[in-house]
Amino acid sequence: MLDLFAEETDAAEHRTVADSGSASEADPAQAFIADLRRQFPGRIMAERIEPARLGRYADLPDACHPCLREALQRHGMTRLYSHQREAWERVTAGEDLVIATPTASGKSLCYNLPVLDAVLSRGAKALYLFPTKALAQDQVAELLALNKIGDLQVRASTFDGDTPADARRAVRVHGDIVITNPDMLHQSILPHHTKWAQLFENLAFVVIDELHIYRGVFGAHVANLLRRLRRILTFYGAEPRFITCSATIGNPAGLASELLGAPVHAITDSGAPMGARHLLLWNPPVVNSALALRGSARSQSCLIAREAIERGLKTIVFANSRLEVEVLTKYLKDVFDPDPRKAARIVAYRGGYLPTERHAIEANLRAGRVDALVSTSALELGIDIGALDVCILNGYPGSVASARQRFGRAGRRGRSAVGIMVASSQLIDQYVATHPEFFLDAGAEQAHLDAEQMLVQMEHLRCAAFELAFHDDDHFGEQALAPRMNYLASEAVVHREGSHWHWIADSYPANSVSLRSVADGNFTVIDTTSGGKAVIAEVDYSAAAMTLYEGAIYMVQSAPWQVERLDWVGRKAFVRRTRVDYYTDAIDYTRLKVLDCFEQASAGAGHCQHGEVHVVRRVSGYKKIRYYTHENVGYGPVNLPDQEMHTFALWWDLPVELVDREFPDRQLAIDGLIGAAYTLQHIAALLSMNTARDIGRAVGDGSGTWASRSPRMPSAGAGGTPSLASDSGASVSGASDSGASVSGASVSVTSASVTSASVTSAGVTSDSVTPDSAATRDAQRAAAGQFQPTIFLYDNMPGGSGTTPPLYDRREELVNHALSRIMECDCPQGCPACVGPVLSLPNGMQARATDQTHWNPRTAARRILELLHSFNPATPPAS
Amino acid sequence: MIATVRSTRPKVPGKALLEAHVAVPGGVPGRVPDGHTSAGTSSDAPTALAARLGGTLLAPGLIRIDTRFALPLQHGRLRLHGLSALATSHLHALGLVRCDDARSLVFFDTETNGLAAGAGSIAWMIGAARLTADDFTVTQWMLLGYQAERAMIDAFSSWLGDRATLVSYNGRSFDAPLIASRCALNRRPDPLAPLCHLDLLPVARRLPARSAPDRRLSSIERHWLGVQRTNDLPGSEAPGAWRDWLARGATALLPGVLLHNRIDLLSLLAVGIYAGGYLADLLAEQAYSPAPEVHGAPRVHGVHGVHGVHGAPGASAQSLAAATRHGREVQPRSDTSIAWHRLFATSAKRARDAAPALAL
Ligand SMILES: [Zn+2]
Repeated sequence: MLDLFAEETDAAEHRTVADSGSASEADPAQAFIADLRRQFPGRIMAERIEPARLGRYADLPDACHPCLREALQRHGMTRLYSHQREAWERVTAGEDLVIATPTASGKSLCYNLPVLDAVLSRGAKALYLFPTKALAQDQVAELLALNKIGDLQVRASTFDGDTPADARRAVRVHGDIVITNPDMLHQSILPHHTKWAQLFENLAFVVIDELHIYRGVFGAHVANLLRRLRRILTFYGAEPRFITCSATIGNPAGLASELLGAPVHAITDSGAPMGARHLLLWNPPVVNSALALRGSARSQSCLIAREAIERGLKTIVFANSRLEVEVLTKYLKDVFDPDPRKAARIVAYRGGYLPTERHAIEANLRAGRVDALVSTSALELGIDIGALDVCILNGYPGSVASARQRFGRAGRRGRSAVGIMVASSQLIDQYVATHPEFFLDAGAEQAHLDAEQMLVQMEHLRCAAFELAFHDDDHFGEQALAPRMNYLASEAVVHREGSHWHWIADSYPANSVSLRSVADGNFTVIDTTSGGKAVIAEVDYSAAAMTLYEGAIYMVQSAPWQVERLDWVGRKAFVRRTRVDYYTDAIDYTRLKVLDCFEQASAGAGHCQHGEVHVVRRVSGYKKIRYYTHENVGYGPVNLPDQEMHTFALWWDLPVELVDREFPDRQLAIDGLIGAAYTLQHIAALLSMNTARDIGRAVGDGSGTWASRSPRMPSAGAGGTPSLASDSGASVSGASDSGASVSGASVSVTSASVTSASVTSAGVTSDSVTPDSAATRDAQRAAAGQFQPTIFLYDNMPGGSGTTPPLYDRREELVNHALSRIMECDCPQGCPACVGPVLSLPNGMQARATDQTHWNPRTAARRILELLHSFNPATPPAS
Repeated sequence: MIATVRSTRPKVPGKALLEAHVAVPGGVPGRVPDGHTSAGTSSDAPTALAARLGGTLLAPGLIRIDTRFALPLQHGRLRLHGLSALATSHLHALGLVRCDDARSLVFFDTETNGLAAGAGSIAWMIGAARLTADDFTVTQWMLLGYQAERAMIDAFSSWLGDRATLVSYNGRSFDAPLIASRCALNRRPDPLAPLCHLDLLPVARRLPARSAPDRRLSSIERHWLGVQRTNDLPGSEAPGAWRDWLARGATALLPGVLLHNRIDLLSLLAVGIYAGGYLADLLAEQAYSPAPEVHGAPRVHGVHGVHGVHGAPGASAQSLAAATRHGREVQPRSDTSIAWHRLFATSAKRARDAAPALAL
């Protein structure tokens, strides 16, 4: 089935059936929702129906090549959607475009039409970039189908790691449309561009689909990759048009302009018909009114999925981590796949499967043999998985665009679809659940990239120098070329001669640059169960430390393997099948040192600063957590190398005298800092279209090591003065969200959802691998000595992703939102939805009440934020 | 809805980040060149350097050195004669079916900056040689800087002409694509593209190993030809010699590279003679004569080892059929696939450890 025609043929007919009349009884989706409403009152926080829309059409353009026109007509396609026609007009007028219409609105024809026409009528060539191989293969299948229908003889081919060596030359020399991914362009095509002269000399179009993926660090990489492409194209005398497609984000033209470095026109008004879509915002019920704790999103997602599957509705559940995917899959399989000999009705889909495994899953999906699919974001992109009815988001995926993209996976056939976002107890989710307008009504948020990101740009500058000598008059980015070239010359990788800089080193710069992450090298997971050495999965370098430590339970299709040995250098994890009834969760620590301060402003009684930092993360151990009960059944140590990175951060600090005056003791002040950091981190993620994982948080005292929980954590060692302004060693701790420490005792009263939440605060005083550790003593020592109250939010990508400058600009907004979040929350003393999970209060905390304040983590965090708020101007230090 | 490019904030440069994070592979930390170092500033002036290397300055930054080896010449165990050593029958046996005269052969080899491929690879020295009745004359073009590269390509192209038959060792995979790439970057036509090209590496792979551990030129010249190089600069040091020259004007290693390149060309000739004689003998035994209409150079990739020679005659026919099919598809003018096919099909009965038919 050709995706580009699907809407035209199928949808057009189905639509009238689905839309005409309220059809509520006949429509299984509506009946499903009615039932949910009846059975679970109070859980639907908001509801919205996006009505079906009729299509708007336009004629095929007269100028369209007759063969192409005939091919289209032979396929029953006698007209275009209005936006497809607009794209044609603008492209033929020579504009660069971004098409940002909804999922399944026939976006690919917007570029295929002008490209095919140019290939047929003037022998032009085109380069297509898709973020993944799978998407590229889908696209070439689409083109080949059209080719066949019309006997167009257009040579379209993928070019990726799977392309056989003997076919590569044919693609290079004869390909009319070459479909590849940014990584191949980066490592294979541009460094060998002389072999691609035929393509580049005749290149009329560059097509970039899934534009919204290219934001943050990845976006910065691809923007610089396109700079390299433009240099090469200039060399070959080509000046192609760029046609890009994006999911619906708030600023498609802005993002496209940032990526291409030139103004881009956005087409956002879709002429495609759309089936009705019901969107529900679902909050789990309160299960413990005393603590205002809600049930877990996971159990609710399971419940809704079961209802849907039992009704015969094809369902997809999106979870936000691989671990969640595996756990959810297991729960659903326990219900629907009791007999392992039968074909599976429930299937997990995530990154990390081998290609053959993945293709098998995709084929089963398309064939409709699967009833429900549990997926990570891997399926967010437009891989053809066939028709689905219900989409459940187990937790907010971090951006509205992402949520909409996921919802778009259901309802492809034009019948009405259901999308349900189940809020977790996380702060962001609860913020969204209590502010549905943010989710349901607000225009999607804004995506950005920073093409000037220095480390990324330096890496691409090396690659560019390899590809073509630089002349003094050349440009690469906004900064002056000469100082950067001199730097490369000092590394002896380029050589200055006359007014040119030539590559001179005997190395391939592109080989040491990965577009996807700075650190490189996937880990392979090797099953040794029966003495064999079968590779069962691959894991990103970035995820390896958190998932493949020795002792970890690694799950594949919900079957548990235990990691017996991790070969960090060789990037291999050896695992063995196991039958344990627990899963594992890593505990990690962060240490942070300020290297440079760029800018500074007053923030309430303290300061807010923005600058460069060095971060060290260490996984020190893991917890074993039993299925279903989620009790903590043990700990294990982990010995892995530290993960270090340079990045950017913004931080707030308060005068120590003030804090000492405002809090009865330093332990409370520390709790306040930790809670405020948690709230600020999540608000920052929400505002910047990031997940909380993209932004690290830490609190520090400016000098000591009080917050290090692990006895193995060395002291900061930088010495120097305690003042942050002097940029000496600020030492910090802060566990990431996965570093949860949960005491068994408190879990029995809390709900399941708490277990995966962060409990940074708890770690300082208890719950560490070695509860009576030196860390506690450190804390006491620090409490007695130098103490510089500071909260850090750092960009969690090495080299930064451009997140922190806009956050620094919005520093007052951040404090405002964080403060109101804490004030709005209806928990008694702190919870994951405001200051982070509070599982067991530090000894004596509840008992203390000074003045009017009942001290608890929530009030402590609130006091810190009040001190940083602009209504609290700086007070002169007490003398 | 035209968006303008978001102007990024004037950024405080992350100096600490740059210094601490950007790796310095093999670089000299702290050494920042003035940007005008190297060529010509130190030690020799180009003309003097050219003279010292035994050549002339052909163009600014381009030196040409001619070296004549009088024949016959002892090279290892092999005595290199002039044209007579590469008789027509030998050329035909090597697959050069349309080549009747060894005078048209051009043996060539390049020295590079050490990369296998890619736009950042450069051939900073081209060595090429022709054979006559009583000598073997090597011509070498050497760059003193990047700016002379176009002049080098032009000089090499006109020296080469359009009738030569190329002979190289791994040149089809390495030297020829590299020169093609450099021509493209200098907007010049590739002088090698229209020429027949005999790559002796795949030929050598099909001959009995005779204790050579691999088929690198340095291995087979030692094990097959008995060549012992003394005081030779290993080929792997050539890239460093070029970098030393560019960075510091160091000339110490340049004569060594030139000499190494010349000996490589001598060995190339010797391997051609050795292999040509061996295969001609095979042909003679089978009373086989190649079809006169095919010409060009063998391009029979994918067949490892002469199955007919090493046994497994069944595999031979199959893989050879595949190889010749492949050869025709990829390179329609490539020629000798037919000759090879016949050769190996008929040599299948040959004894496993057939002695080389060459008088050593
Ligand atoms: Zn709360």
